[in-house]
Amino acid sequence: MKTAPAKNLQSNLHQVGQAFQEQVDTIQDIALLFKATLGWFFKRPWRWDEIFHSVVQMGIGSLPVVLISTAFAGMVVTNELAWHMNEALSSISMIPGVSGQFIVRELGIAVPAMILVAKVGASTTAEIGTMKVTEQIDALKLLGIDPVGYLVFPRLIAAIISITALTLIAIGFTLIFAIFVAVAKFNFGTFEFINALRPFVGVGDLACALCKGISFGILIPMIACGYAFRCQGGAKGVGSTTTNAVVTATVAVILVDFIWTYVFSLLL
Amino acid sequence: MSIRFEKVSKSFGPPEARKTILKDVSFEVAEGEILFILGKSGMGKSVTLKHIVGVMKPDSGRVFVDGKNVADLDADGLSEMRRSCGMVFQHPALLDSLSVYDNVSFGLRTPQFNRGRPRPLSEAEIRQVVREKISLVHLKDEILDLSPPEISYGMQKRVSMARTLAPEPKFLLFDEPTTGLDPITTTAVNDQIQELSRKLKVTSVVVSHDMGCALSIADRILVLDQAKILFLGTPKEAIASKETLIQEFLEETLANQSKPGGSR
Repeated sequence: MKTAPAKNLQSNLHQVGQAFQEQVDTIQDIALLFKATLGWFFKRPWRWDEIFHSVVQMGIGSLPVVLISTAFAGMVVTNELAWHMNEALSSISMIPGVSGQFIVRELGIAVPAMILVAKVGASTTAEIGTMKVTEQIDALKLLGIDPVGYLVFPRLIAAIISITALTLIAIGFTLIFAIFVAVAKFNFGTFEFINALRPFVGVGDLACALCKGISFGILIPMIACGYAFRCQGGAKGVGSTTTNAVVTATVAVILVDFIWTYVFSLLL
Repeated sequence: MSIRFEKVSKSFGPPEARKTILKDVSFEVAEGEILFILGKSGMGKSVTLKHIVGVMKPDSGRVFVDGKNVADLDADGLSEMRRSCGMVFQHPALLDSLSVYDNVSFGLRTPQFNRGRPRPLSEAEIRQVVREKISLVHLKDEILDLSPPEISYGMQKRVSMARTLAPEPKFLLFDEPTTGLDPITTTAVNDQIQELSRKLKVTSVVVSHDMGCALSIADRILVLDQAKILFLGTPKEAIASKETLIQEFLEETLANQSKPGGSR
């Protein structure tokens, strides 16, 4: 006969195992959903009205919050780097190169990505999850409509377009505000900053940003839709599914960000 | 145009805590018949409906719709079979981003609906079908341009029925169609189920808790309990049954009828 602590341990291990299995099943479902969604690239007609609507919702709808956040991030980073350089090297001449490269390679990409996970990922999971629990997705199937083609594919195309564009816009905007701080507080000239930045930032950095943007554009809607399609249990279920989708997408974005950074560090 | 279940079993959950919902369930719904499936919550009523439309597959046994084994159908066959089934869900399941008109006409624009037709329906023909179905469920044209959240829940249920009827299905499946409705709307919806089934001469399966309605409009009643068929027979036979669960349903019906505004 098992003792109480042994039973507790078994029960806890069982719960951990179940949670792990659930995650594995979800990732498997997301991979299958992605495969099914890719098939729609070759089918016609594309729902351009829905793609356009989603681009407006995801891209233009997220633009203000992305711009405000990246502007402040750019200012903070330039200010901090200048302080540390002054303390350590007694010189701030390297600010354009260091802050510029950091912004183009990382900050201008990671900050909007996190915001888009929270905004686009959460809204997509909540919307499609609600459709799942209120049987709208079953209704689509019975009307002969494939929910993947009708709901997921337009959102994937829209997210690739919007998130890639927002990433590039965010990099530019972060740089502008980094220059603003450098000019206003540290007496750099605008062209002096840009000229000092040029040797540190090249086409390879932009290619890296583009790869990251496209990857996030695929990851965020696929994870959001994958979780939404598994959603069950009413409003509470939609809430917990949305939370799980956002957490998973955040981790996935950071992981993919690292992979691209590593790949380009070998190439550049 | 019949539906047949042959020794269908279905279980859910992990192996150590597996719950059997259906165990060797066999029955047949004849062409033009209205079958009511009754039972307590979690007894497999909705699961039975989902097996008919192929949303769920049985662990063992076979489900035949119109003579074809649902499990043997390929994607096209399944899609074609689903087109022949109109299902009214527990929720109205209307697409909130579309107007009432677009919701009702949705099924008329799908490739499955237009397959085998010389040409797709024109917009004028679609409008005519939509008006016809909206009037069949006793709604007015004024709501056509509204979106689902702008109309009442009862109206949404009726719009959902109109959407189901638009592609003219051979089978009508109702999953607790009166859940969440007030007694007056419940009576109206139940009347419509009977009216539609008789008028359109379709085979209907209704999952419900409402024994009163089942007694008044069903051709036969099937009661599920503990994963098995507890009772299958006509309303008269149900009234005469000595089964405790059926007696409970009947007593509940009588209690509801004695309340002011209660259903039949």
